[in-house]
Amino acid sequence: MRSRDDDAAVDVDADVGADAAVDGADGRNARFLALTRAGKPAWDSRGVSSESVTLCAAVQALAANAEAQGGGELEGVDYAGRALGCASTSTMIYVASSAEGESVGVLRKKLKYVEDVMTSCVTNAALVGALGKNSRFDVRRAMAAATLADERLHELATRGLRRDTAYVFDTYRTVGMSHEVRRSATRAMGDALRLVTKPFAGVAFGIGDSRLVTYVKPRGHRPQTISARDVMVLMNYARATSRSAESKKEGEDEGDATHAESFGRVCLPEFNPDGFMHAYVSYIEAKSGDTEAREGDEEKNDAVASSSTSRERVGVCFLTASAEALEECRAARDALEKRLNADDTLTTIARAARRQLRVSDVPEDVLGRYQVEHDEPLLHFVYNRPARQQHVSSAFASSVSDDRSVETITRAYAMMYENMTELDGTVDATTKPPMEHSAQRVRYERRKRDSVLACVGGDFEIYLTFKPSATVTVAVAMCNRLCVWLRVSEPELFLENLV
Amino acid sequence: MSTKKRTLLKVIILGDSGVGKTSLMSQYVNNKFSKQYKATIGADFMTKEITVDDTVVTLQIWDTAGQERFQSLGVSFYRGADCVMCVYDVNSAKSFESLENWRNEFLVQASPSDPDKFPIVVVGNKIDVEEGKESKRVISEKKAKSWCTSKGGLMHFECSAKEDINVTAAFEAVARFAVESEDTEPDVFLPDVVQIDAGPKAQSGGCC
Repeated sequence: MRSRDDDAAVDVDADVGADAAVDGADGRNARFLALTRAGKPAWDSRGVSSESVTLCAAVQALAANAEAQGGGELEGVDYAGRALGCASTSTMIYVASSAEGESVGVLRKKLKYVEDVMTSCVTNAALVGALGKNSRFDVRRAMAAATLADERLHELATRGLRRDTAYVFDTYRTVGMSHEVRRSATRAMGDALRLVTKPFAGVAFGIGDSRLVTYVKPRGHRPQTISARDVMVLMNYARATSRSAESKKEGEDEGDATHAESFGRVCLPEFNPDGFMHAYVSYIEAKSGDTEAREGDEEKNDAVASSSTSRERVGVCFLTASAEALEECRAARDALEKRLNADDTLTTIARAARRQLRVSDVPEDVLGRYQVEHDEPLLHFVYNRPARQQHVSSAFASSVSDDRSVETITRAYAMMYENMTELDGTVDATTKPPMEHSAQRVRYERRKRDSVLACVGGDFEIYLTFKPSATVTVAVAMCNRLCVWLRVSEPELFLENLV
Repeated sequence: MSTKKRTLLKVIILGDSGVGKTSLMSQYVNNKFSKQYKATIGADFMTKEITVDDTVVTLQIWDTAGQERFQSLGVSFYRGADCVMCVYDVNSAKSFESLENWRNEFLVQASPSDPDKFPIVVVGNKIDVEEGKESKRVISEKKAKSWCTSKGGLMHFECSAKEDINVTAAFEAVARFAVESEDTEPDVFLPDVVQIDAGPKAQSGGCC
């Protein structure tokens, strides 16, 4: 059930402290909080403080009140322009607050990932098992014993949930490259994984933004794929790991950072929420010393995903059930690097991983006339394939590539996505009645700084951001043409044979 | 940078309606006392940070409703409590007799792992009331201590929220008691590594 502040069966004096706690120092940024059903904080995106304790008590009071009144779960509270989304499990309550106009539904969706990462740090067994036996079980102590728990949750809250479209569309992002190159990488990864005892998977990803290059699982293992949610948990883990490694390497020479590696425990909640596996995360580096010089001019014009390094590197992760497999993982990494360097494939992969798909990469005959004649109205697009559990997104146009604009557009996608998935039949900004059996649904929303067009087909979704000057006719025409081109380009855009 | 250990303690205040639970909490946290009686609806809470030895303790203090009609909601806050403060009015025999029920109700609802060792502190409030003026003290300190002893040696304090007598000492004893109990908690439980090969439909075989 949803509750308003005036429903709360707690004294107003107590709420005053809670309000201040929700607003936080800046009064704007989203805040994420995880607490036990006992009202004790497990994690706060602003750091656990006495303020968190007050907020947790308020949330517990509201949750208890909601249960007492209607027997239902507390979903959210609207208070003074801020939305509080709440999601409860049998042992935990997750809370998100925002003053950015996000709906309770959008906030609750984000909380699903906070729960995922929390589980990936301490497992469901710790949360449900330990808290079930002892409600005084201190989740914070469990997190302190977990690998990079705080970094992983912070990475999710500060970057992932604000800017990463993966968390909007529930599908992971991929690196575009030729089918042959990806196949070579997949085969090499499969061979490398054979060197690891009790393997679960080998994953290659772009360092800057954690888009997937490829992954393999041992033949015969079920399921054959890694679920999108687990991929996102893993990529979040890799990002947190690399950030931690980089910060530790500050002051050391750059060469050391190249070989940064970690070997820690991670739980993949969709595969098995009750146990850990070990994740080895490192990088493989192209040995072509003249790569930069050879292709420097071209590189200058590329939309580079990672600005942290000019090296041609790709992230790798080996997952294993063996706690003793560190040396084997190192050997697998070295073998993979050597193999992919033998024919310069690694250079090609690394360059692809650094490059993002740009609107200008779309061939002229696809968008040319519209893009040129209407002052380049298309700013960004996302092409989502739920059945593949993957999507591709373009680089943001320079006019909207700052963090704030990216976050604003990502929020717009999230709200649009919520609308599209909530409603049946045609969704249209006009007053036309819904067409219940329509195969395609379209929605166009004009906003102050941009306009968003969403189109949901039988097996795909596309979301486009246009300049506000773009007319509906132009937007729809460009969407249609882009859809055709993206469909044809799928072999290069997505990982194949994974479903 | 401080190296002090930090911990959170959830403290529940229980007792009959009108014994002064809210006044005790208000006096301790805000150093305020109101003569006006206002029944607590459901529950109220406040937080206060104190230091116990080398530990910074954040007390999350829950003041529950004493009136029976509001008690169903209060019970939901018992979960995860680290310590309980059972309050009675030294001038009310009934409030003292109710302590047994409050204690039992808590132990049933909260189901602590070791009920016999769960930190419970008994507080007799309103010792400031002058005999013959408003009422007469009916529960002697000796009688209260005797009862506490019979329940396994519960800690006992006599206080006045109005005059701020012994209030801080009672709450600090609560905190210390809970911190000491916390230290005896077993180490954090984290499960083992998942058995990949034992997963559903898992088969052995080579890589792709």
